Amino acid sequence: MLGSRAAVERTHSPRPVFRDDCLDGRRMFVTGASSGIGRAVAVALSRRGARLVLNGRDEARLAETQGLLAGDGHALAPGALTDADATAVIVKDAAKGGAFDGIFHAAGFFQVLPAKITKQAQLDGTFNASVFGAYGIARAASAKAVLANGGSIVFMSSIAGEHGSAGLTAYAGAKAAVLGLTRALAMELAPRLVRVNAIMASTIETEMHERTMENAQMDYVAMNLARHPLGFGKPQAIDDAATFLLSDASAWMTGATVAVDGGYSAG
Amino acid sequence: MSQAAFAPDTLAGRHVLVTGASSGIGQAAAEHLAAHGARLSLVARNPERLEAVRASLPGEGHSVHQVDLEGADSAADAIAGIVKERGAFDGAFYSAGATLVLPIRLLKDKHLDEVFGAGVYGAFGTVRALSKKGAMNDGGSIVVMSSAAALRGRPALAAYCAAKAAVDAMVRCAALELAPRKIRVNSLRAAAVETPLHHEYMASIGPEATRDYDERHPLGYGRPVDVAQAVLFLLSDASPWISGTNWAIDGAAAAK
Repeated sequence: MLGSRAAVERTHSPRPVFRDDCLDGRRMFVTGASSGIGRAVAVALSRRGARLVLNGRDEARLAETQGLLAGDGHALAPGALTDADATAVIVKDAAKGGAFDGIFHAAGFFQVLPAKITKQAQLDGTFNASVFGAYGIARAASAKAVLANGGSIVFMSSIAGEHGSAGLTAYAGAKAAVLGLTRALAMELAPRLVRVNAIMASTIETEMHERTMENAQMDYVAMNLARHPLGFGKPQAIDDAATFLLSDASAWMTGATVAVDGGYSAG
Repeated sequence: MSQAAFAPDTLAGRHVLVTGASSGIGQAAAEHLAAHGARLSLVARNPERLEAVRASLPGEGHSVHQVDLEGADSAADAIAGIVKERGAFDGAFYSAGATLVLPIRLLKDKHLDEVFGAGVYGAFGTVRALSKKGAMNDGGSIVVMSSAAALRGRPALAAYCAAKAAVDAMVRCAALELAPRKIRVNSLRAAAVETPLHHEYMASIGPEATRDYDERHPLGYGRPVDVAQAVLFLLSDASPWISGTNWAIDGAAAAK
């Protein structure tokens, strides 16, 4: 069956790894929180004690996410991250309730678009939230009042940023831009012990993925699956990596591109 | 204020191999893994130091094995012997290996053998043994120590840099080979971590090289526990989909 691999029987059943209080009292800003990875990570962070401010374009779906969170004291900061300046305003305003300890940036969308029909408008769409949004976050987070010393920023990126795939020129550029930003920002914020890392993910089974699958040719899906030695991923894979990077357990990690990709980039 | 991230029983009931366990990063990893419930089989060359480490570990059921991992075949045989004695592994952390500061114009066979011995051939032999039937449980995880040196050249470190790059490449292939059994294989590219090996290196270089080294570490030098945290993450159930990666855990040393 496409989209799944026969489960190999584990000798031990998986168990929770992170303590419920590992992010106690930490304030975190999560973008792209209306759905998919942003939503899944927000829920996971809340279960580990973090207090969140959620950002997304769709206010109703953002409120749904809030309803799924554990604990209380969470807030919404709805708004489209249309460019760097608009984003910086949103983040700064959200930080008025108190400086953040962590920022998780998952806003943006995946789109298959041959170069032949990729115009400025499509490039703007692909780059706005994921890249210019990241720059807005970078600017805002440069201030201690927005992101505390010792804080942690995690940008979502994709294997598309390093591995070419037909139809993904715009997406690949955007995701590669995030990786470059990550490295430079890590250097810039190191004096304040602020860490900046990117998660480089491959195909995760989210709604966005299902929409892509519905519209894609069968052989595209099969080829993509074949590049994933460990199969497509679940959102939980990202939750756990994000928690690690936002927690004190990764205090010496910065400027890293963390591949969470089922072995995609090994081959 | 630092907050503990991992549940104390993260690795409860899991059997983990730790090589290079008598000092430095291997020792720190052994302590951290044992503190989170793992039952360890510890490997190193020096039996007294190994025993001292074992005695200091929390938990029970840890064993020590004096093994020289200099060659692939001898390493494979030794690990196979441990499996016979102690049962299959759920995880392995390979951190044996030597560093060597020597310009290329002075590098001879014996130097290359020394650096590639435990650092590369021993790693190959260990992964070989672990990939045999019954040596590692499906769903297990292997972590191999590498270094930012695999990516970033430095004068007089050619042998070490090459060895680390070799190990990273091996890890990528091993990940592909072991994926059908859901066994993950990853390497950790650390930069300078404050261990005896690090202090040896610092003592052997001049002030200019020291300054340069300091500057390559924007977040400062690492502590062994920083690396141990990443080892724990990769051996735990929080990373079942991470494989074939070479993690930079280096305070931005490789981002530079």
